[in-house]
Parts: sequence; structure tokens; C-alpha cells
Amino acid sequence: MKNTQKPAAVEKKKFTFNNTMGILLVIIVFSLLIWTRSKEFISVDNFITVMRNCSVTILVGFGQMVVMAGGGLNVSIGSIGGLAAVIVGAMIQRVGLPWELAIVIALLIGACCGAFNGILITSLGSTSEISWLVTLASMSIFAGITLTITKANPFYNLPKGYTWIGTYNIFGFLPFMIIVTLVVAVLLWYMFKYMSLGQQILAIGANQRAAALSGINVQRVIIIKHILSAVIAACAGILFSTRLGSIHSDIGGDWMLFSFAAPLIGGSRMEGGRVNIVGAFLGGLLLAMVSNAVVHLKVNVYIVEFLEGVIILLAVGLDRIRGLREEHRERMERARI
Amino acid sequence: MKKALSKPSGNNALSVLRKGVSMLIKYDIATISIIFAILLAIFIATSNPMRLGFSLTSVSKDVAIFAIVGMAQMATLAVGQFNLAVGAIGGASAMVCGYLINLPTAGNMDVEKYVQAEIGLALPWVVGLLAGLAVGLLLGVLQGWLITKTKINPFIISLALISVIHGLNMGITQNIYFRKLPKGFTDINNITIPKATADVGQKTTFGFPLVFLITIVIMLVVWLIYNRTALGRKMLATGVSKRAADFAGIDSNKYIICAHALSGLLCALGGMFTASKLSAAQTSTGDNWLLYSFAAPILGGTLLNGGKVAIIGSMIGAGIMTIITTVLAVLKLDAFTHQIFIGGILLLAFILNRGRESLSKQQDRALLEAQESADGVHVEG
Amino acid sequence: MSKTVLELRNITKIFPGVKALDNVDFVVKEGEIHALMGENGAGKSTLIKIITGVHKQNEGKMFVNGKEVSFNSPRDAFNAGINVVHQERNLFPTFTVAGNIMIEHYTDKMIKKINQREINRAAEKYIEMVGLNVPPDKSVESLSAGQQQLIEIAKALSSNAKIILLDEPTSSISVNEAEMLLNLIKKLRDQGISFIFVSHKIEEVLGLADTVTVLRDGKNVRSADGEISSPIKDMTREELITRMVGRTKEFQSLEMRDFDKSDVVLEAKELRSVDSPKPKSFKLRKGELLGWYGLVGAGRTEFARAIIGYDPILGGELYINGQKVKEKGIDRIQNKHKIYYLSENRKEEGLFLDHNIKSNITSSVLKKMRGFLFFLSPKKEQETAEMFRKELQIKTPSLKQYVRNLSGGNQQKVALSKGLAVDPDILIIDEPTVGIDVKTKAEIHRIMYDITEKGKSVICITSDMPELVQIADRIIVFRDGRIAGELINDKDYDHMSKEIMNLIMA
Repeated sequence: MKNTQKPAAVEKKKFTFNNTMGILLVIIVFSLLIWTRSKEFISVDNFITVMRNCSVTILVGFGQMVVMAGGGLNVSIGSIGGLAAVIVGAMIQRVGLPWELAIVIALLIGACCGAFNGILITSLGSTSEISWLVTLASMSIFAGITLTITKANPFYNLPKGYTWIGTYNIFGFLPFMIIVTLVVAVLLWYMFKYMSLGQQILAIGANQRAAALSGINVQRVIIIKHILSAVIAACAGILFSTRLGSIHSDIGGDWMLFSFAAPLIGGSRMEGGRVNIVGAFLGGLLLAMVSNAVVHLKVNVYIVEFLEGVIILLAVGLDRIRGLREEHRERMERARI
Repeated sequence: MKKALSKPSGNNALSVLRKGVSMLIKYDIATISIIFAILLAIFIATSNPMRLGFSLTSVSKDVAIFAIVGMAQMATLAVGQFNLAVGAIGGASAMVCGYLINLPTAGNMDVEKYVQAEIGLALPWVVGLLAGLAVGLLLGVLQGWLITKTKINPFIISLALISVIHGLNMGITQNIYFRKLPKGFTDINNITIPKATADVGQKTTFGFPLVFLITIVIMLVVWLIYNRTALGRKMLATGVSKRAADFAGIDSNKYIICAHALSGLLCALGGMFTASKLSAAQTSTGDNWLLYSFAAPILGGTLLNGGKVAIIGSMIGAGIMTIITTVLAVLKLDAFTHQIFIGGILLLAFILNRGRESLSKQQDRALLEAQESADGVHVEG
Repeated sequence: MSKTVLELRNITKIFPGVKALDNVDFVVKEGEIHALMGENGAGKSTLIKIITGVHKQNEGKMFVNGKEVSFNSPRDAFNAGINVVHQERNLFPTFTVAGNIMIEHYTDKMIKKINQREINRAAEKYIEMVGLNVPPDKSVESLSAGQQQLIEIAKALSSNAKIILLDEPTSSISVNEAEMLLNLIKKLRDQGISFIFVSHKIEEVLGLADTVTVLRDGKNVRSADGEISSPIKDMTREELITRMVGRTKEFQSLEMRDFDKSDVVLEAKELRSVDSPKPKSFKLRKGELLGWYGLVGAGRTEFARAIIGYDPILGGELYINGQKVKEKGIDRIQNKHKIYYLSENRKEEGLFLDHNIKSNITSSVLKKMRGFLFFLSPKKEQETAEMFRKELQIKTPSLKQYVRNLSGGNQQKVALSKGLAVDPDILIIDEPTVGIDVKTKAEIHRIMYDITEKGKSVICITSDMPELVQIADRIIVFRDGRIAGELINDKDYDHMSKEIMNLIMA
């Protein structure tokens, strides 16, 4: 039994300009444009710098993306990152632990922060407004803990092995930092595509009610996704500090905004149900390139923040236009029945 | 056919206790007023009696600003939305106002450096105030318009606007600060009625800061708006149910924009009050507002999903937040521990709020069932 | 005698103020397509909710395959082999076809590795079973409503459902897809699966079902032999409709009134909108109580919404009191043309549940509530609300009660007050007495009649035949989104119900 012939409007080939291709195009065009103004933009040195910068930005984006996938959000990402970094510092300098162990402990504490968020959110109702409020509060709590540990004194003189992570370049041009991010990207990609857990998170984001009816333990999955998000955030904080060479309590202070930027630009849905890992990667890369370009062009450095907001609105706006066209088509179809 | 519903029978003492607890949780204002009174008492008791007057005066100045910022968020909560850009709007308004009223100093106008701004138009401070309010209003309208017209997720729009507004603010002003603000402007913060004294070595006295009194007036105005004007009523209706509002002939989109406009206006006021207090307009104004903007209304009993505002409650909530912050400082706890407490209070307030909601729903249902059993249940078609 | 797969006995369900089901029996056999019919408010959806575990009955027992069961959640019903395909889609829009169908199978463990290819292959079996012609990796978002529905059935099949419940299955799909669906249901029935389906489309029921059970006023409607259900082959259209709407002579009809010479207050000419696409024309006269009858889904609500401005008009013209309606948006049309619409969806569209009675009643007339300057006068609000409380006999301890807490009947009275407060010339009331007790029903009828005596015009959209014949002066019958005919109501129930049914069935 074949379907009836579709009306001509639907036959027209769909606009295949999806997010990933779009961002890639923008990146290429952008690079070329900036290169014409400032030749050092496309150079090995600059490549290394941009790679280092975006590695953290993308990780932070991944941390948010995991929670967004399930229909929630986590604004405490920055403070979890800062807390993790500070814990590493404290473990190394005050407790005298080897840095590898310090990292493990910091990640575990990050996981606890995530569990804290997840448990609170699920006991209060699991909506996105509740996620917002709970993580807004926990952001403050974690930041406070961070400040209490450091008492505003940064940790200096970090061990060589630790700073190596942030400064080593494989083959002389590929920063190790980006490898960390790539590994996380691959793991996430695997999780969302090939693991039941990933699918469950996406199902909850797509339709929470249907997910519960399909037998998914919504509460448990939400807690797990917050733990994951927190661990990734902790990674990002630690990674950032390996490059700096010092750990101070400001780490993560301004992460809230661009934690959303990279995934949204990349095509992940705010309401959940769909993630675009490559897109988030490219989105983070684009943002890092914009910041970098601004330095090269010697323009007003604050324009980056402005542009970030504009880019998010444009990316989401374009997505919305696409969605509106679909809705319109559906309504017209129904009117003809 | 009548079906009698059995009334819950309970042990007398237990039911009285249950009733008492639920009454306490239900009457929001009463509960937080009691909490506030207790905190105030603790504060007074633990203060150095010599410095008490000064402390109280200083606390009321902070309460004023927190209350305004809290009301700004409450305005959008009323229609069931969030205004994440409260800080950005406040900062932008403060800077516009600051620029207009700042006294320029002759000489080197090197704006590249992070220095005290030597530029300014030195206009009368009233002009600056009005301009700042206009900026807040316009930005609020922009946010509301974007949300209602583009139908993009309001959270994303609000979030992106933080960057856009703050970025513009920083970009245009280059993060300078305006320090030569006219006396009339800073007087808003400094004048106290009756005149408070703060001399070292002598017993300090308390006086109501002008900014606090203005805030009380604003609070009354806001109360009037929500309780006695069609504008306020329609905003609240939109918050309860946008669809029901549409069918009742209320242009819900228009009132959502109004809510954001009101919010922006209050943010601007908060920004300028801050500038008056610091005697400087800085771009960092508003950076830490986000959490406080939610804490005050939620403590006061405002609902997150819209339709109900607690104005006096928000003020008391702001009072509670301020006293706790001040008490923490007095107890010589780290400035850093504040963060932990503030976050914890927000969480507690929210949990209490949810508890209130579900408890009152239960109670009302019981009330209804009791009434029904009195009338008799009818067979229906 | 084939096996009984589902049996409900003596089911009673009570909600505050309302007895939705009164001693209802329901029996479904293996390999049977069983239709459940009844008008709005008859109790069908409550029964369905009990079968699917959403509600629990107050009295009565339920048996699946002979064993007594007690469902505390939809999951329990699901585990017992009962699957539901709702009217609204319950899919994951961002997932693929296979992803949706097989969701249960790969979300039971956390660490389970997902083999996309295996899932696709497994899903193909069910895709084929339902006759769908799409690749398993296609995104569900891009499919039509009919195709999405088939996916839900495929999903039910993949979990070895033995009983599948379909709620208005063909209401939002194309004619071709509906045919496919009906053939599929027959095929699956032959394989031993039982279907319970709820539909208002009489022809569909007659053509598809094996057995039919009818509910009315929360009770079983029995056959002449006292049976709760009847085989379709023994049913005629007339008999079916009679069971659904009943035949009562126990009420007082109101006097007939003549409106031939009255002014036309509203005229629609070939009016259509996106949700009401078939052009319709009619006239409404001053002081008239016009009834709009039709079975659920006939398109009356959509038409009303086009008239009041909720849906933009695509074609045709609308005149109110001689003036052409050019405005867009409910608020403008309501203000300019004094026309008010009371939604059938009381809770979400008719009332502000979390506001008190006073605020609700005055919500559309705030302009008139002004006192000092532009401020609202609490005194005026109180007076207005009090006036309506008395007039409509709203039962409440205080006008400050939240509307959420009122019974259905009182809620409707508040909604009515809200509309009357505007003092409209034309009032459109959609399903005024669904879910309301008999006493309040009569009160609301009286109110509607009184309004028209004062010179206002009322359009009453109703699926309740007795109500219609009792109060309407003239009746417009809708069918399939069109106006099937107009009748002057002579208040003779036997005569009118026959005429109306003819128009419905023709």
C-alpha cells in the first residue's frame, strides 16, 4: 500500500543546510576574512593558541549539552569547574598528594556536586524551571566553597607533570589539551549513539511523559546526567588550570553564558531530545576563533561578548525559522484533509 | 443518588497540631515576617550598641536595592517568565545615567586606560535619572518583544541578551567608571530622615535613608499596579494561563511585553541606586544580581510559574537576605561563606515554597470535598 | 465461545461533585474489535482511564485473562498487555521510526549497548506489520499524523500487546490513511489481538467493529435483552444513535418563539479558516437561542473560533450587526462587536483556576471596574461578583475562593458570569453543561434562556440532544466540518431527534 502522492510543496528538495555544514562554512569564511586583515591569523602558532582556548570552551559546552539533552540545564557548571581546579590545587599543595591522585579526587568531588544537583532537582519536580533555580543556588554554594578553600589566594608552583598537560604540543603543533576534549567528544558521541543511557537521556528530553510511560526511570537518569555534566565541568576546570600554571578561584566565573552558546549554535535543542556533538565542537571552535580574531584585529575586546549573544540569537533564530516553515506546512496539510 | 463521603476522623491533638503547622506554612507573610523579626532581633542583640544606629542605616540602604532588584524579577515572574538580564540592564542604565551626569575633568582624555572617566556631560542628575529609566524601559521592551514575536525559547533570548547588553555596555564604555557624580544624585543614598549620625567614638543613631523611603513608595506603587489596576490584573491573568487570557479578550503578548518593560524599569532604578550608593557608575553593577533577584521574591512567596506576586513578601525577603549577609559579616565569617549561605537560603526558600503549594492544594481539596458532602453528590450526565 | 481477555464489573468512579461511572460493566473478547461509544460526558474517557491505569475505580473489579488485576499506574496496565494509542501523539519527535517503535527494548538497562542496525531490523518487522512504507531510520518528525499513529500501533505490537486501545484513531489523519488503518486493525484482529476503540464516527464503527458497548450518563445502555454490548451485525445506525442520545420525555420544553422578522445580528458567508477549512454560512437573529449540534469532531468549535477571531479567517465574510468584521484577534473583535465565546475547555481556556472567583468574573470587564481615577474599585468588583453569585446561584463560602477548588458546575457558572459581565450582544457557549450535575444543568439552561429574553443572542454548541431540543429555538446540524442542515425546533423530542439524526446520517 503506497502512500498517496504528496502535494508538490513537499516534493521540493529540503534545504539541506543543517547546522554542522553551516558552522563549518561560517568558520571557513570567517577565517579567510580575518586572514586578509591579519596574516598571522592562519599560522601554526595561532592554531595552537586557538586549539588550547577552544578545548576548554568546548568541554564546558559538552557539560551543558549533556544536561540540555534531557531537557534541563545546569548553570553551576562554572563553579563546579572552579571548585575542581581549586581542589586539585589544595590537594597538591596542602595535603601533599601527587597530582594524578588530586585530579581523581577533584573529579569525584565534581561528581558529588552533580549528584547534589540531580537529587535536588528530581525531588522538587524535574522541570527546567526547577533546574534553573536549583543550579543557580548550587552555583553560589559551590563558588562559596571554592572561595573558602582558597581564601582568595591562588595556588602557584604547580608540578611539572600537571602543567605539561596544558603546554605540551604533540608533533609540535597539536596541543594535548584538544586531545582531551576530543576524547570526551568521542566518549559522548558513543554514549548518545550507542548506549542505552544516552538514548534514555534523549528520550526524556524529547518527551518526558512518554519516556516515563515507556518504562524509563526518569529520576535516576536525570541524576546520572547531572553527575556526568559535573564531571565534565570538573574536567574543564582542571584542564584550564593546567595551562595557566596557577589555580585561582576565578576559574569558571564567566562560563555560564558560553556553556549554552556552543551547543545551541551547534544545533542541540534547548528543550532536549537532540544533540549535535560535532556541531557543539564547531560552535566552541567558532567562538574561540572570534575571541582570537578580535585580538589580532586589535578591535574592542568587549565586542566578543556582544557577538556571542548575537550569534546565539542568529543560530537559534535560523533554527526557529526552519521549524516555523514545518509547522506552517503541517497546518496547511491538515486544512486540506 | 447520594453518596456520603466519610469525613476524616482524627485524634484531636494531632489534628490541631497539623492545622497549626499548615497554617504557619500557608500564611506566607506571617511566617517570613516572624523570621525577619527574629533575625532583626539577633542582629540588634549581637551588634555593638555604639555602632548599632549606623549598622541599621547601612542595612536599610542595602535592603532597598535588593528589594528593587527582587521586584524587577517578580515583575517577569508574574507573567510566568524569567528576566535573566536584570544585571545587564541595571548596569547599562547606570552607565548611561553616569555618563550624562558625570563631571568631566579637563585634561587628558585617555580612555584606553582603566581609569576614572574624565568625560561626562554634567547634565542635571534628574536628566540622568530619566535617561537611565528610559534605557531600562527600552531594554525591557526589547526583551519582551523578542520573546513574544520570535517565539524562540524565552530562556535563550534572555540569556543571549545578557551578553548582548553587557557586551555593548562594556564595549562602549570600555569599562571605565564615572566617579564625579553630582551631589544631588549621591544624596539619594546619603540623606537620612531623621539625620543619622555616624561619628566615630560617639553613639551612632539611625535614620531612614532616602533611598529606602523611595523604595517603600515604589513598593506601594507596584502594589497598586498589581492590585488596583487593569494592567496589573491582566499581567497576572496572563501568568496564570496565557490561553485563558487570550480567550478572555486580554492581549497576552502585549502584557508580557509590559511585564518585561516594568522589570527593565525597576532594574534601571536598582542600577542607579547602586551608583548613588557607590558614588560611582561602574559596569560591574548588576554582576551579582541574578541570584538575589530570585531569592527575594521566592522567599516572599511569589510563584515561579506565574499568576501570583508577593510584593510585601519580596521586600521582607530582601530584608531577610540583607540581614543574613550583614550578620555573617558581623560574625566575622569569611566574605566567601556568604555565597554558600545565600545559595542555601535560595534553595530553602524554594523548597518551602513548593511545600506551601502542595500543602495548600491538599487543604483546599479537603475543603471542597467537605463542602460537596454537605451538598450531596449528584449523578451527572 | 471465545475467551474473555478483559472484564470490568460494577465499576463506579466518583470525582468531586460528579459520579462519572455508575456500576458499569465492560467485557472484551479475544480477537475482537470492540467499539466504545457515547456522547461527551457519557463516561467513555473515564472508563478508558481506568482500563489504562490512569485512574483507579472507587468500586468494582477488573480482570485480565480471567485474573483479577489492580492498576496503580499506566505502567501496570502496560505490563498486563494493555496498550493505548491516544488521540495526541506520544512519540519522541527527535527519534527515528525504529527508535520509537523499539524504545522499550533498548532502554531497560543503562549500559546496554545499542546496535542501531539490529534495532532497525527488528523494527522493520513491525513496520511491515502495520503496512507502513518508511525506512526505519527516518525521523519521526517528518511523518504525517497518520503515519505517526501507525508507529504507535507498531510500538504496541512490539511489546506483544494483546489489547490495544485506540482513542479517536482516525480523527486527525487523511482518508486514505484511515482506510489503511482500518484494514490493519482487521488484519491484526484476525491474528488474535483485541482492539477497543473509541470513535464518534458512526459509519466507521459500523464498518469496523465486531461488538459495541454504549455508555450514557455514566451507565451502560443495555439492549432489549438487557445485554451490555451488542454485535454490530445486529445494529443499525438508528439504534446506535438512539442508544447514545437516549429518548426522554421527562423535561419541560420552553415555548417556541418566532424569529423570522427579527434582525440578523450575525451573518457568516462562506467563512473558512485553517482549522475550519470548509466554507460555511449561516445567520443568527436577535434574541434567538441557536443550537449547534453535531457529533464530536464535526467542526463546531473550530468554526466558533474562527468567528471570534482566535483563528485567522482565510476566506469568506463575517458580519456582526451589519458591520463587516475586519479586526484580527479576540480582544479587538470582542470589544468592538460585543461577542463573547465560552470555551468548552473550561479549565485551561475558560477560567483562571489559580485566581479567585471575583478576579475571574471581572477579568474581561476591568474597564468598567474603575473607581477613583484609573484604579480598580474593589467595591465595584465585589458588587459585580456578588450580583452574579446571586443571579447564577454560585455556591461558595466566599468570593475569594480560588476557582480551582469549585465543583464543575460552579466553575461553569463562574465562567458564564465572566462572559455575561461583558454584557455581550452575542454569546457563544461551547458545551455548557458537560460534566455538570443535573440541578446545575437546569439552572444554566434557565440562565441562557433569560439572556435571550433580554434581547441578546446565544449560540449553544452542544452534543447533548435532550438539552438541545429543550432550549434551542433553531438548530444547525454540523457534519464533517460542514453544515448539514438547519431546523426550526418544534420542541417535540421524538420528531426533532429523528430529523436531526437524518441530517447526521445522510
